[in-house]
Amino acid sequence: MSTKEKFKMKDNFTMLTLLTIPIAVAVNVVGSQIHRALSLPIYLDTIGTIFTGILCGPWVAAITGLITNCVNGITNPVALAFIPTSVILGLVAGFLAMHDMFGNWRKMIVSLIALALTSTIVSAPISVYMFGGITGNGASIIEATLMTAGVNIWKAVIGTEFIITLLDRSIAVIISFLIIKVIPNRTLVKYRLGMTYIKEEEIEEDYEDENLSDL
Amino acid sequence: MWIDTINERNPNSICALYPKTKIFIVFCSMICIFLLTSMKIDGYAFLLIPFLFVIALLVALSQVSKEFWKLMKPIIYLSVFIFLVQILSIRRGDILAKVWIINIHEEGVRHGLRLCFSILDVAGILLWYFRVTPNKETARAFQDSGMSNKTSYVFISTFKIISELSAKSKVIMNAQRARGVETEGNLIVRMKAFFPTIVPLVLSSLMNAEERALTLDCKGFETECDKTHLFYLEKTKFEKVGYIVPSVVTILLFITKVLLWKNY
Repeated sequence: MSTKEKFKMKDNFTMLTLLTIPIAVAVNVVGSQIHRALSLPIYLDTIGTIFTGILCGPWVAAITGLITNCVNGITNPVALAFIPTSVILGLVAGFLAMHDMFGNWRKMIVSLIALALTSTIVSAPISVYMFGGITGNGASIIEATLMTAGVNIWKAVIGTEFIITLLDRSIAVIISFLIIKVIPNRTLVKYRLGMTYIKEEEIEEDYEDENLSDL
Repeated sequence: MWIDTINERNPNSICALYPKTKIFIVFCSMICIFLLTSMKIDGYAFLLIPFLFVIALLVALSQVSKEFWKLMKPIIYLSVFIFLVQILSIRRGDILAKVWIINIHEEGVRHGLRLCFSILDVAGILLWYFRVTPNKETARAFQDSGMSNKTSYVFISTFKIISELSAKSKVIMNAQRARGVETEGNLIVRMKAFFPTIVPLVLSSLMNAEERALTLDCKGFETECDKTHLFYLEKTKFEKVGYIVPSVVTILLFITKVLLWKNY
């Protein structure tokens, strides 16, 4: 008979996860500072959210996204309006990771498109209704140019957002996987979804190194 | 004694207010800003501008002007940028002015004004709060009102780690530069330097986090019992004033709006 206990919500928030959240938020904040300093069209403020989604699951990533936008909102109130985007992005990244949708390159492309689509669908209405399509970031110049040229506001916003978000999420996912690759297995195992990223051969190598086959 | 140095309170009476009172002031300000955006004179939300002066007065009374305006500068640039883009891209309404070949439309100015000053007001009041309240006071106030110690820990450590990480990123960038990574040059070069900076940064922070988790477990962080504190937070005698003044102002503003701006 299976004695596996049901995974409760509070099991998501282990000590290690609680300490990873501030690091992810800090990475997001540093990323958005770089974005504002260099006026780049890509946002770079979701690296931490996607990283926590891939390692710790959807709810932790949602909290990371929420806290990031609250902290960014202190110096840039526009970010407060986009809290739903970050939260839903975290949830989607986490659910995709739970179903191992970052396993091979085909699944990766599907996941990236899913992430970009969700971000665009959630942020486009906020951008158009609250800010008239212009939120003051680098993408706004492209959108403003399109709108001045006569393109319909929705098409301008959604079109630009989708392409820029796709690029931005791809970079975030690449950085997340680069980091996961260099985290030692003994740390990776302590995360909820960490086992997905440890290869079978590496486990066997570890056992061989410790001569446990003698036991 | 060291414990006395931690428990030193700010001599300014506004800064020394209990964090809950200050959060209440911020909350009332947000309601006022929301009301003022709909109290339009001739279609323009001009009343947001005097509110900015009220915030500046509050900042001056709290004696944090220098740091406040230093942090407000980038926000002012951001608001001006948003205002300009709104004027240039919105093309509805009568033409108010013509600059070179660009027409400035009424709707653009209305929308831009409303957006620009509401951003300045919201950012101003939030920045005021974070300038006058050290993070440990906020965290302690949350804990006293029943928030779990884990949540308040996440709150304090987020702010600490952000400044630590910024400093660490400079160290790592110098180290990578010594190893031959190009960090100066055009945009593409600087973007390529981003990857070898961020991976060691996050990795070293995560390793640190693992050790910190063990340390906190050893210190009984997760045990459900009364915790002792080094830092004590007491309420001052001006708390009532801190609650009454913003409430009265907000209610007066609300009544003015209902009486004079019935149709909005």
